[in-house]
Amino acid sequence: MTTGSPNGRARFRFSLWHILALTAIIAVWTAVLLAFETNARLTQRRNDLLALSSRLEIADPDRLQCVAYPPVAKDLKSWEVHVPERKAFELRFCVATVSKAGMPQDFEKIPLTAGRHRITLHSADHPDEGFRFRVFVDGQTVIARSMGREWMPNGWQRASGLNPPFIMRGGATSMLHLSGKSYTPRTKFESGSYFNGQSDEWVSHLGYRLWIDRADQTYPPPSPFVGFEHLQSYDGMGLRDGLRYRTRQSQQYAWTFIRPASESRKPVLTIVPEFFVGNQKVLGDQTIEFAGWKRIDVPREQKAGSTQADPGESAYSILLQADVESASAAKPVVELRWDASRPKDVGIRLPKTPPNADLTKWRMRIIDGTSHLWRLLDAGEQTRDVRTSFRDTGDQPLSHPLPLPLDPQSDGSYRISWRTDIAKPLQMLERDKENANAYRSLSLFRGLPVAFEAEIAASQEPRLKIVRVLQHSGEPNAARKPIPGGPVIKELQIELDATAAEYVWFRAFPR
Amino acid sequence: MIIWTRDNRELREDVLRLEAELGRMEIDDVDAIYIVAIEEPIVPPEVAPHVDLLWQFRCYLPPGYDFQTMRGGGRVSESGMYFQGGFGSSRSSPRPEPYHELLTISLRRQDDRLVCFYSFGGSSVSGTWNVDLDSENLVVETLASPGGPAQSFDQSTILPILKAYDPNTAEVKEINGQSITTYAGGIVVVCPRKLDPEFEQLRRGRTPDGFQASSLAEGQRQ
Repeated sequence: MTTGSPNGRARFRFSLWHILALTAIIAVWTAVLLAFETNARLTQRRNDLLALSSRLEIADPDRLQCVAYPPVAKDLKSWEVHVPERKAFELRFCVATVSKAGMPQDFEKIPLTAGRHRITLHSADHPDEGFRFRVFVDGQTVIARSMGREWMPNGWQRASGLNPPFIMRGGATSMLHLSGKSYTPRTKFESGSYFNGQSDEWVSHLGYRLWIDRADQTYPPPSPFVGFEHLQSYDGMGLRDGLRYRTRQSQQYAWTFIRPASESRKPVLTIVPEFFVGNQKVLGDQTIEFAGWKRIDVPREQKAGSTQADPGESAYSILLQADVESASAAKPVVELRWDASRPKDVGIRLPKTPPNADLTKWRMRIIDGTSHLWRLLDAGEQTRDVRTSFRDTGDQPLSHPLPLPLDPQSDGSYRISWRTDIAKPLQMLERDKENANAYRSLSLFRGLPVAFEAEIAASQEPRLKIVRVLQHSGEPNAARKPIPGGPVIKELQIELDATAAEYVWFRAFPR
Repeated sequence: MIIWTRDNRELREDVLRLEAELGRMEIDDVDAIYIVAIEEPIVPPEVAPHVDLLWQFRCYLPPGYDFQTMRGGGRVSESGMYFQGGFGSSRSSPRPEPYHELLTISLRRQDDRLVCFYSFGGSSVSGTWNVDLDSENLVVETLASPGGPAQSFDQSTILPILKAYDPNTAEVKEINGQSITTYAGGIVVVCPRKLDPEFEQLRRGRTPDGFQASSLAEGQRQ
């Protein structure tokens, strides 16, 4: 490549061989780059096409895999599946009560041989079609279930896709979940009226699940509880189909409970507690140092090494303590309890614990009566209507708390029931042409009609007062307007002995 | 390089096999919309009895394409976008990347109703077309013909993906001083969001001021 020169300096000199070699190198590199670029382009193109195709590419022959066929009709779904060898697998189908909380215990099953299969689900889910479900394997009907029109006589107003339960995602089991649906039945109240509700996936609904599983795979029954084992604060903690405690703001004083089974995720029961030592109120919603209700019990999953039988299968409790930014202030502890044997209830009590030692009395103010239009009250003797009863209260204004006698039941305990006089969802009142604006300013509960009860032990020596209201104003400075239909109970006040340590069981259920 | 070359040959063969199933499409302009009709949509035999008429398209959609789909049955005109009847619509949000999706339309006679099923990507919807169509004599127009080449459109074009009508149901209507022959039928239209107002006018049998005829794609009779 270099040669010596007379003056001793090296000089570059290209021969034909050098030019040919350089050209060959450039050609090879160009070919490599082109092959690389072509490979990237073809791979992208193939991936784009594969994502649309129903072709099943088996990446791991030991794993259950599937690909869905493009849907061509609303009530038919098909999948191409690969079933591994070595273990026995079966196709399982269940039409029953379903939820996000777990897998059904009763299901029909069909063994699946190893290899490829085409599975199709036909869900004729209209009342006129009799809610017929058919499952096909390789074109043959293997499961047929007809639920009949009475399964949901009025049909459904909402159908939501159902995913595998939370605990079974991420490869925790060998399950391949193909399809699931949860129906919210249509509730008919009056012709021409529609109801627009909002539930959640934890509530038990009629529906179905279709999945492939190992033949020996079993699942625990779905827990009736939610929010204790996994942090699901948005959905609240308590009973899936009952009352759940949920707060949105850390400094919220009132205890709010939701009941999505009533087709609303807004609070259905709001309780403002007040605590007394003698006649002095030591904590209430006006206590400016109050900073929030803090959970002080040890969450169940943190109790490592406990040898006790897990009581979570039948009941759960949480302890809340008032966080008050003052060393000398009262900091009561309250226990909220849910029991599977009381599916509609939440129990509230002041446990015997040092922070509660000085308390003598406490009061629970059950507020938001204007949102529910509470008018009917039963405190033991008979049901009374706030529009026609309590007229002998002299000159006292309606808003003054009115004491009411309580009649004990045969076992000495007390039961207080209250509800609205309106049998349809209150949101329908907002469509009333004459009173739409008045109703709208009341922020009516948007779910299905709910009735309430409180069950109180005799040892708590309860005293009851009600606060009535005839007019209402949606805005602070707006003119007050009469509540259409007459006065309502704005608030119930239940005063109790703070030393009894018994539960007050509050319950909410369809009216 | 030898490995790449062999890999590319296999990839090319696989792409050809997939394109035989899903339609062939060369994207020359990444900002355009491409539609190709799938010649033989795959329908499992147990599903086939539940579908009377089926059209399936592979679509390439450019980044940022913001559109909504309108579907409905009632009265349609032979040309133009006139439509009278009940309809449903759904919006597809723009995506930052280009993407391919399958668009499926099927019709099924159920009792005395005609159920239209529409699926795009992962979402599907069905609705009843309140119209009695004689499927034997049905006139069908689509933007791309099964077995035909992919069609491309710019993003400012209203795309009547499907128009189907019964030619034996002609009825002349006076609309905005014009006589329009209408038929019992239905349409599925993809409309860029920015042309929503124009589409509303066209649907009522009016021509929007300054509207270019080229902004409305023409279907091909099948």
